[in-house]
Amino acid sequence: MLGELEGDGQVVVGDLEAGIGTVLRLQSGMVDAVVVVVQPTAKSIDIAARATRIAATRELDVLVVANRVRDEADLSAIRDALGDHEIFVIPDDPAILRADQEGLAPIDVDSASPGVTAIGELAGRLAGSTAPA
Amino acid sequence: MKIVVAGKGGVGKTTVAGTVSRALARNGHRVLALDADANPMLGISLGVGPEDTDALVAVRQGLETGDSEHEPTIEGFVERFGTDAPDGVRLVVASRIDQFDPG
Repeated sequence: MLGELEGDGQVVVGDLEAGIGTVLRLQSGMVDAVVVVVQPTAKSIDIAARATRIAATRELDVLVVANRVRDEADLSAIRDALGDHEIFVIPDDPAILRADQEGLAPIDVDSASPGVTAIGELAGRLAGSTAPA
Repeated sequence: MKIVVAGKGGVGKTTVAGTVSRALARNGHRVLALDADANPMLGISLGVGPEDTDALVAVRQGLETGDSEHEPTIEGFVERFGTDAPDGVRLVVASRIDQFDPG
């Protein structure tokens, strides 16, 4: 379905299935960027490392999002495994936790919270030179 | 432009996808959010609420069990089966059945 969607004049944001299944089906040129979200846990870092390796072999642009980072130790664990890629750090954020608990969009809970602000910066980086339609 | 968000379950993948979508829309981009997760929760992170998110999932199940007719084009699919999220984001839950895929 992703391959069929027209990316011109709009931004398509695909939330893939968990794990690396769909990443394996991505082909060169199919998407403009693969955002790999990782938390500072061994299992999450392992899956992220596999996903980034697969994406790299298909010459896809990879951005790593280090989510729920509490301190420098959390970040260095992620940097050690994924430091070859651009890393966006999303701090642990009570507003995002509250959104999860209440079934709300984090941006509606607090659009200026540290985590939401960091994701907004990621969005700006992803949009890059693409002018609004 | 097309972006996909990947990662292990429970790492905040959907939170990132939903919030990136809303932030892009607030910056003036036309955004189509595509929920391809087996456990589709993107609607919640986008702010359409649990009820409307569940309704979209039911639409997909209808498609996959053959209860609904398919659309011949992907644009028709998005128009007919998508829903509007805040800030003008259009949300569609991906079907595994690609009837509009010619090949």
